[in-house]
Amino acid sequence: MHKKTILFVDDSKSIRELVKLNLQQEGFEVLLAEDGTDALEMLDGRKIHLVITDLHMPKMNGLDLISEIRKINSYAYIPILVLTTETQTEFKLQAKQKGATGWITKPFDHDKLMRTIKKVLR
Amino acid sequence: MDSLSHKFVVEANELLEKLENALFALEEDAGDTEKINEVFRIMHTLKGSGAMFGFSNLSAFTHELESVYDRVRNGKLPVDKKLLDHTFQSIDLIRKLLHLEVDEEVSIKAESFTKNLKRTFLAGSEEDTEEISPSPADAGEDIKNSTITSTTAATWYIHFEPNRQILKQGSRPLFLLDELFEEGRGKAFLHADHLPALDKMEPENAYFYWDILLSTTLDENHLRDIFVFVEDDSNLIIKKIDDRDWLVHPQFEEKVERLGLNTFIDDAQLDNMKTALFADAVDTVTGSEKKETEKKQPEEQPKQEVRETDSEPDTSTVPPKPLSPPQKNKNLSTLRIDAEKLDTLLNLISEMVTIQARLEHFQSESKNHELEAITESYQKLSYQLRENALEMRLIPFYTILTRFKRLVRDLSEELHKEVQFVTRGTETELDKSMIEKLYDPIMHVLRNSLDHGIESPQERKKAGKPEKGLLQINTFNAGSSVVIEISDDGKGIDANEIREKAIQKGLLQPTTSLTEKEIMNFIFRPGFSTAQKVSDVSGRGVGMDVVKKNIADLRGEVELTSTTGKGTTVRIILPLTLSIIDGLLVYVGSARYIIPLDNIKHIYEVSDDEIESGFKPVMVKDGRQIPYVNLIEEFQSKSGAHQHLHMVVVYYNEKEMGMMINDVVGNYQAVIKPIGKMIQQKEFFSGASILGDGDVALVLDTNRIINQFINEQNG
Repeated sequence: MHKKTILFVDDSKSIRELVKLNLQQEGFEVLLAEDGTDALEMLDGRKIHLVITDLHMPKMNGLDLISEIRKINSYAYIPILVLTTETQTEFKLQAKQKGATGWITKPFDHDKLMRTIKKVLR
Repeated sequence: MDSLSHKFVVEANELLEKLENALFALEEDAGDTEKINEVFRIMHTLKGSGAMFGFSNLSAFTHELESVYDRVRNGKLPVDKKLLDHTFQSIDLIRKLLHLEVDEEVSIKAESFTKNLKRTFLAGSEEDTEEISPSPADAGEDIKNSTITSTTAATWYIHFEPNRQILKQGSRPLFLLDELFEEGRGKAFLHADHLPALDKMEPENAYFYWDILLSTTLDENHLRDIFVFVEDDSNLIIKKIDDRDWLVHPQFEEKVERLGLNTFIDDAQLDNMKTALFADAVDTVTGSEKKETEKKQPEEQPKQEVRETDSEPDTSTVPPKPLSPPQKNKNLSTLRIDAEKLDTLLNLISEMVTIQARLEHFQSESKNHELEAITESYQKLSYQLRENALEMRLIPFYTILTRFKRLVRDLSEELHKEVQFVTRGTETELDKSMIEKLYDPIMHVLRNSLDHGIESPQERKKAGKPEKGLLQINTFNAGSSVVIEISDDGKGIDANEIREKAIQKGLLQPTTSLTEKEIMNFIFRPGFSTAQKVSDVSGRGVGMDVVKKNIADLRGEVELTSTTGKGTTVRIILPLTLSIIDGLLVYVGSARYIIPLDNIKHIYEVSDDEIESGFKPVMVKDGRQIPYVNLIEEFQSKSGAHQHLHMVVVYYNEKEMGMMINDVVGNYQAVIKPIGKMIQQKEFFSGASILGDGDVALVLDTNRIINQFINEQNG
């Protein structure tokens, strides 16, 4: 079985590094992007199996990113997880309407991250 | 502080700098929404990342600031001096909170700042009430609940009807089922009764729903957790139906199967199930049990009784078994047979055909009229028998198609390519043993098409093609062959590239000129892979040579045609059957050979003086030049009684070629037996057949002879 690739989108560099480490440890191929436009560029022409994105980012935010991803035919069904905080229930719903698959509530640890990923990726 | 936390601190300081700049900008222009958003985002990042890296004080502190700026960006709070002052002040505090161990003094300061902030900016907002419903209590309860999971498995009923759009949100219902089944034993009933008529069906929608019986030690909250992403817009029912574990019941499968549940399972049916499973336990109320069965199947009852007294006189105390549905007669017209039995049958018939040849031989020598009549009837019957048996072994191509569909679906998803998979002529029948051996080669060709042929939607768009690639399998009969065409409308194979590579690998002289078709044939050479980089999917070097070998083992042929930018077609041509062919029995010298009849185009009589042994022998017949190979010389045959010369013209791949032989004996049904490694010129033969007089005749593989001959000519 070859490695699955996860695109992680967050404007915080340290979070990106942290998540990257955690995901690589589990044998995932990790691509990082710091905002929506960046993420869309990464998606172009690559094989990506899962997108995890923060919602608040400069340039293109998470919600718009989800809409854009769903417009790309080959990514129409790719699982997308959004990063939310416990108070942002309304964003959860908005993200869902745009086509997000699920969410990961910040803060999260390794186990929580993996449990959630396992829900959408085999 | 570990290096990652350190990175966060560095980043936070950068963010604070940006925050200051943004605040200065807001002092200039209070309406700059972009800057307001930036402040909000920075607070959001500090809060989220802070929590991730263990800066809980910082996280709590910035949470309030985030809330404030959320109100600002929603127009509920104005950007004024008061707000900016507070925010500037907060920056200094944030700097002090950027330590894992925070001084008590600082944290007290932060707390009072927060209180002040809330009072000033968040009074009356919903954020204000947050403190009243603190989560710790809830969380505590949750933990308590989760620790009280029972240790014995109970049976749960789960009804899961996903939203039709579920696939479009990237959720995979089957993953959820998998996850459920990781938590206990389960039985899923898939219901398809919501599936609309084909013309009304949206292929991207999910129409299936499930009823699941799960025996697990988990509690309801845990089970709901599994569905957390989809719960909102799915129809989900989770309820405990029994404290007992139904699924360990030894006859669970059997008994539940009998209930034939293929639509929504309601409470009554669950009760039926319980009754079916635990009827023995309530044996004392056999009477009422019986009545219930009667009620359900009143018309079946008399039969039931007859059967009981008939065969099982002692079962009167046992509750009557539910009758299996009365559809037993429906499928009598088809019969499932062990494939091995068919193989045996075919082997026997092969033997019979061999003996038939002996009979024919004997008859032709004895000149007995009676025997002639018997032989003829025997021939006719054995022919019919053979056709019949072969037909039995034929199964339609579509039987392996689902596996390919699956492959195409999975692979195109994996490669993020869009592919329309069209199949035609799938009812075309092939020998069963052949179909099995076709799976790998076709799979390989499909993989190649998906990986190297069909481009990504973006590339396709650029090339002016529809974003969706087209992958086709076209199957049809051609004479006694079956043709399987696998074509894609991808980027095709560049013949020049192949040529270059062939030269590079020393397979081709740079000066040799070849037709495009001949160049394409290099693809089938061992170790010849054109993929620029090896991918997971294909291009690992196990290439088309293996495909070719697999197909050749089935006495078939593979061809490849490709147009750059337009696509590639791989054509697999197979004989209908593997073991018995119609052939032409001929003499070459004193030995006999069999040429498959299908490949023969013409037979010419040739006179001695027409033969010229040159480098490229050619014979002119019917005004055409036909290259030929002199098998008499080639096989160094001892000359026998047969001195006449004939040229049998065979064709393959739009080429024709003559084979010089001596005499033609006639049509012959050849039972092909594999030949061992003993025969040196093995590449000329596809097998051997036992003749009526006990001699062995080799079966010529005309396609290979043509290929070899043409290669020699070029080389």
